[in-house]
Amino acid sequence: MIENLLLGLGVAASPNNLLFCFIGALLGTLIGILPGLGPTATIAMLLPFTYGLDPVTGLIMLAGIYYGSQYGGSTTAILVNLPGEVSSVVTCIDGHKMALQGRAGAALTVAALGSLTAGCIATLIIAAWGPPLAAIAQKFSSPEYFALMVLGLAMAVVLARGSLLKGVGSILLGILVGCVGIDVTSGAYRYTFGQPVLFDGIGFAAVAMGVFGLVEIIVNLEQLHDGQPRIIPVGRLWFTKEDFRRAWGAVLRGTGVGSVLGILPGGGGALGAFASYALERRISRNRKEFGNGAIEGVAGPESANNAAAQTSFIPLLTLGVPSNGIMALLMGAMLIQGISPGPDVMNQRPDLFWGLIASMLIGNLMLVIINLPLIGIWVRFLRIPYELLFPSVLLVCCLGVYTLNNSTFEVLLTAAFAMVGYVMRKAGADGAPFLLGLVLGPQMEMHLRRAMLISEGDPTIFLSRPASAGLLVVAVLLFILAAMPASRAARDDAFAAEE
Amino acid sequence: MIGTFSLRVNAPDLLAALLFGVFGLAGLWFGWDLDSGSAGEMGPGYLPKAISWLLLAICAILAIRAFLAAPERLDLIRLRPLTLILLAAVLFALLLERFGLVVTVVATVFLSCLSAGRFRPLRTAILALGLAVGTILLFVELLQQPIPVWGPP
Repeated sequence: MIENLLLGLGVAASPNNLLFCFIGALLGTLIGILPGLGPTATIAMLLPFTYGLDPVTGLIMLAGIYYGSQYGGSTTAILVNLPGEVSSVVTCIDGHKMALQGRAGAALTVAALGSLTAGCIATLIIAAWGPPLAAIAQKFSSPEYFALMVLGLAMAVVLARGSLLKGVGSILLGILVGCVGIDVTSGAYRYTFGQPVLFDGIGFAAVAMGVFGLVEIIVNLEQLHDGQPRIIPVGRLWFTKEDFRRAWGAVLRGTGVGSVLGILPGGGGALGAFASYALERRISRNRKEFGNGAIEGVAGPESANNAAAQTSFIPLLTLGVPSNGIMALLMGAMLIQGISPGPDVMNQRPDLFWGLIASMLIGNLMLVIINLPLIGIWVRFLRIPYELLFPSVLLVCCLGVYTLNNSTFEVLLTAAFAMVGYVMRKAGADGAPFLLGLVLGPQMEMHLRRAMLISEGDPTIFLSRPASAGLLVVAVLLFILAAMPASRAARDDAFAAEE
Repeated sequence: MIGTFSLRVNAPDLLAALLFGVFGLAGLWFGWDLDSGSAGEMGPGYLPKAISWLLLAICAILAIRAFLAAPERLDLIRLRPLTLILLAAVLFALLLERFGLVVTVVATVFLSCLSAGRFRPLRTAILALGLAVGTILLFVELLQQPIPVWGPP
């Protein structure tokens, strides 16, 4: 592991990769701080820019945006009482109270240093868990892969918020859209309507940009209200001995909770933060302080969301199964570069796997420097009105899609999928499962066909092989559990604070 | 009309049913001639049609649930941002290769700014010019993309 990490550090420390890691961390902080702009939309927007880069460099930058946004989100939560990101919602509760009591500096410092600790530990977890998981996955053949993807999608629906049925519908919709283009096995034209631009399928970036980029702008504009946010002054950036004594345990527990939930598909930062807050409140001796500025309520969730953001890379990099919308985007970025994510990446492209992981260590260090001493600069960005921001976002979306293939048709596709995404949003169907279906669909079809070819059309092949049977049984159990009234109520509770 | 209707119906469920139904039907309609093959040797039409049928099944369940579940209204829908932002993207696609980047950026920014609260002409003009210069610097000069700046390429 040490050897591999050193190899990775060698890759990540090249001047070019350091530069893009820095750009990613910077952009991530910026969009984390700005409430109307999330990591999913930003990564969708920047996908086209990475095609011209070396795959490692592009991934390092996109990853930096994701975990960088977890740092930036806490600043807005603490100083303005607005979640810069979904995963910072719980930080608002106690973080903002601390700021009102004049302890904004302590809250910010604890959030940043907690995130750093969590980031470093989570990176080591990826390095330790990656190779054994990949080794198991390498023994898989088509039936197991198909079952694994079914399980991944099932978990993504069960652990995400919203209705199960609509989640499944969104996945199916994504798979159907993924069918457009020339069928690789038979050479048949599917849903191409005689348009040569559709022969290669519907561009992933165009869909992502529509469903996440444009829809986010439209929804933000609907909720737009006038008035400047009230920003609380930062004060002195340090914490007391008492703060440290109370925070360090929360940081470690948050890291643990976040790391575990991050690995599970559908998990990601928000769920980790909620779970960590609930845990801290339950075990704390200062329970009465929660909601009134308990430092544990900042330290735990902030560590958890960063840990989860990082361990959510594990399923993508080792199994080839993306666990949330952002990982689906990264998988899209890898596929367009000609790399298919999965257990082979580690052996065939060790520079890519270990370079990306090592860049997270470097990126987390950069982020602490970007976020703490330079906080005054970032606070100024909070004063930019959204009316000035969204036309720029719209233009970057359109130009980004256009420059992919110099095709205005793809820009029209983006607009069409923005409409679909908008209807989905209003219907209570999440965009992330749709994207997961789109990106996994073609591979699921391939593995399903192969498996059924091996068994000569007998579907029991999925049950007669122990590994695939086990994976499918877990998927079915999860659905039954999630559909039961009791766990349904608990699930709704867990996400209630998010609304 | 929608107001009285939503008193009895779970509108988000119904909308989702509609969305999945439309795509399911379209998948079947346009994929009807694709060869399904058999389970052992799936043709190009097997999966798309199976998925379309599943979408129709989910559509049916959601449609029934919409009338049985607790009534719920749709979130506020504002037509102005929706239509203007979509139109701005379409306008961008129509103008870019005919009139070049500068005209396209100015037109897109003006159209999209109509969607946010009070329209401020001067501020929008400054923003449009700034973004025109910014996109030229970023996309044409720095990233060397073959985008026409003025007129057709």
